[in-house]
Amino acid sequence: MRRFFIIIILCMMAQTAMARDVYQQPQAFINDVFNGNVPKPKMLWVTKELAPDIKEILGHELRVLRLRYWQRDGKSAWILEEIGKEQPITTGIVINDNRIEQVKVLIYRENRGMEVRYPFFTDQYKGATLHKNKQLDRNIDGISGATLSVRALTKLARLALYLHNHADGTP
Amino acid sequence: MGLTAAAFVVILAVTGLILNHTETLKLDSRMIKSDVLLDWYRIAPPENPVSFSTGNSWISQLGQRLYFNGQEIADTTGKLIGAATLNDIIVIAVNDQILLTTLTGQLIERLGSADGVPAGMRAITSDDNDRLLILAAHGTYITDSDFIEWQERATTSTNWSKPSEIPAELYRQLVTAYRGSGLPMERVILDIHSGRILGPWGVYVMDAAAILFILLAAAGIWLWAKRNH
Repeated sequence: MRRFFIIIILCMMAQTAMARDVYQQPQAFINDVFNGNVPKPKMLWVTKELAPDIKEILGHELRVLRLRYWQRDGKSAWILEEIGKEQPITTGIVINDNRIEQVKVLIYRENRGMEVRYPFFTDQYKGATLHKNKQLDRNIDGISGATLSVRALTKLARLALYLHNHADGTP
Repeated sequence: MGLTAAAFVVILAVTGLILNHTETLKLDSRMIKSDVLLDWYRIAPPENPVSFSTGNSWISQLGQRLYFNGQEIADTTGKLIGAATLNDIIVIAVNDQILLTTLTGQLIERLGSADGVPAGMRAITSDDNDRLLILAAHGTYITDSDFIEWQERATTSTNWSKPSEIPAELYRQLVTAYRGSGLPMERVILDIHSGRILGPWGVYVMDAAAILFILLAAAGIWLWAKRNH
């Protein structure tokens, strides 16, 4: 009986330690977005003009100086990360015609709040645009117990729309 | 006894008030720097740093944190594999990611599998044309100056980036930096509020204080009801 409990406890500890769910590899996401014909990635530098707006959207500075994205025919795809409670959530976001086409949680590293990965939540972002005040054109319904994850994804959605507007080749 | 009770009330009330405004006060991102508290919580690096020299700087990993000289530049998961300087960029390989920084340690970009970084990286170096060579699980790869195209190629290079021992002063800086970002203020205030800062007996003392307050309140209500009847 004691051995049984030790095994159960070890399994619970392992579960906590290994909290990293990979729903889709970023490379595979980009591949799916462009149906296997992935364009060469482009770079967007975080210039002095963009940095304050990005800080306003995220609530903090972006820690990198440039971002990579993939773009073709008015559609752009971004792999972005934002911390939920303590760990980053890796998210794939597709923008088409200045509207969100898709938001997908690719890698989730926290122990709770993973409900944000389900379509019932992420579908709320479909069709969303960015107002001039850098807010989305709609309210996003939250999920009880996943407030910080919801907040992180909403920030990333706004960021992707903003970056799309400043990406090379966007009309 | 009254003074003791008052002390507990003040501690609980003050810490409770502070905790009610954790987000506004950003308590979870304010870090304790006091050596006394850091020692009390036994905040120390888990092991010795792994460091690579890039010629003019050191890239080190301590715990899950990456440092440019003595300054933290990124959180990482996985092992620091190597660092190399290519023209005016420092390339750092960590587990399945490549981090690019300026020569002063400012993070330019993080590259992962979506960007073509080969899986199973084991070592990195630069070739004679200042391009990045990666020794990976399934072969050796070279990339262009923009880190966009990755091509497999044969190589006999043995000049792979190797870890080396950092100067003692830099080691001290790393340990100070690591400890200084290991204990959020929120944790300390929560532990004071619960008594846990003094260990299990601190919790029992706070429990006893809470029970005493409940009894005091009950006694007060009883006296009030008795007076009114």
